[in-house]
Amino acid sequence: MEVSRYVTIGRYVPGDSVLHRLDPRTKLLTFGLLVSTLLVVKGYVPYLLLLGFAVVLLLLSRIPVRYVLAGLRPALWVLAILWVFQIIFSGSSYPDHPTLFRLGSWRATWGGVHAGALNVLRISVLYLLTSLLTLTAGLVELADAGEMLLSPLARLGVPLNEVALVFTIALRFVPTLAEELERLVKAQISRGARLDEGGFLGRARRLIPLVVPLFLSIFDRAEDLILAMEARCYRGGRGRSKAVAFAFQPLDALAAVVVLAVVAAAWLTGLMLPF
Amino acid sequence: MSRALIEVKGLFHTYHPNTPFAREALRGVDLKLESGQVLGLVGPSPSGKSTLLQYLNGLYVPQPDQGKVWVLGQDTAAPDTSLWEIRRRVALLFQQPEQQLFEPTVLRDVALGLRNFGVALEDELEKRVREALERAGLDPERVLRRYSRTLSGGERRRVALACILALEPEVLLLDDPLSGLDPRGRWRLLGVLKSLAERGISMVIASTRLDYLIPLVDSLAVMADGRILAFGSLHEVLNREDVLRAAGLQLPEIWRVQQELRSRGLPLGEPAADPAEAARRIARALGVA
Repeated sequence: MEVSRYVTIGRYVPGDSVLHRLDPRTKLLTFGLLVSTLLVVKGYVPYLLLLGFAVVLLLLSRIPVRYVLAGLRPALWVLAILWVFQIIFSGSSYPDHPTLFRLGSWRATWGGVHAGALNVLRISVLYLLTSLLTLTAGLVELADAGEMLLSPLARLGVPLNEVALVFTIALRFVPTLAEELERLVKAQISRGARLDEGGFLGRARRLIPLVVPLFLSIFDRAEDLILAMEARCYRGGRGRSKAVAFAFQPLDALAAVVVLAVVAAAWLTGLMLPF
Repeated sequence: MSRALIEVKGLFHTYHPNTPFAREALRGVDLKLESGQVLGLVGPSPSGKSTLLQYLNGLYVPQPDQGKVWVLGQDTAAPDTSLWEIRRRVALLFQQPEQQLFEPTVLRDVALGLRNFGVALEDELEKRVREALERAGLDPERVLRRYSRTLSGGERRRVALACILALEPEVLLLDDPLSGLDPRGRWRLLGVLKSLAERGISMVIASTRLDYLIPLVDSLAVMADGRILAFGSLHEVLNREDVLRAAGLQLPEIWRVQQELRSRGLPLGEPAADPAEAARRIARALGVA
């Protein structure tokens, strides 16, 4: 019944940890660096290294570990299926590997088992890193940081401020719409709707009375927002200063050095240890 | 064993459990509603009033370790209890229900619940809708075919009330029914609720304001921080100023005037909720009537 419970994953958790105090630009840059390393480098050692680093960051963030892992639980099935698929269908990529078992014309090999395991590991680390970013940095902070980092593009005529604004508003509306949907679902059930019964078609048909009012309320809210922005004379970002100015601290330099060291270690181990 | 119409024992509720956003909304609530009774649920926002009402409507069901809720003698957590049946017989008017009219026209909206619950045949739907609109203080001729969105806020709220009155529920749960209405809308709705109470329909009415509740209720429960601070007859509870202050509530002016007069030595009995009745008593005490 609580729709909003399912969208808490990756929601900002205010705090005062080392991670929270980092400049959001540092967070974005180091996050980008770690993720691109994860996507380019391949091998158990570098992945375990990155996983270990992500776990250390998670502990540093002082966000309850159980909460972060709970978000991964729904994805476990997907990861398991991904692994199985990779084992079964990747035989042709490893022609010289011995066959483990056959499934029709498909051939499972150790190569597939390893490739699948690596992918599961890679996605888990990716999930952890992404969660850590969104759990320790507010959306507005991230949008502002992104805007600042991309500011050279503004000279080329890219409407960065508007893009950042649209991005922030869109994300900000997600929990609001989840709440709205929850209200509508409850109101329907309270008036005798049986949303959970009937076949697929029946259930889909019953969504219509939810979707229409949801859209109406989105338009209402958008209109309110436009009025509020007009009332405060919003004219885009030109010539405006920021309410919160970011400034790099020694902590950010330290973070950059540590992340660079981890990334370098991951590259080197990936190149030198071929498994 | 015969139970009260509604009974709640040791009810707990936490939103977003096991996350950093966990918020306790109910912390051990006990409550009872007898047949024919109108119970006011008063407390600041948020104090758990809406959450409690949703338990009484079967929208939330307590886990075994969260307490017990009996509605119409049935344990809502029992596997053989039909929550669907409970929702028709103990109907809930949500907070700001005018935002939850689903259908384009008034007729179709009021008929929605009738259709869902199958309480009326297709050919008597319109008759039932007309009756419900009338009982909600609306002129069926004028509003029946109108688009809900073209009505005023107060009218739309009475349409929402008609939606649940059409189901002929035995108990009405009203979540802050008078908030946000203009004075005329408030008086019209107050009149409708009074006439429903006179017809013997049991009600639980939640509100943040005592002065909205006093003309309607005969018993009162004061809520704050997910707990019931006081529960009893209207006069019992209103005499406990310590509790009202703890919940951040103010006595209604009509009450304060009568208390002041009494403390200045005027021989008045318990304060009256109705202004005319209060005036009569004061005049009698002054010897002018």
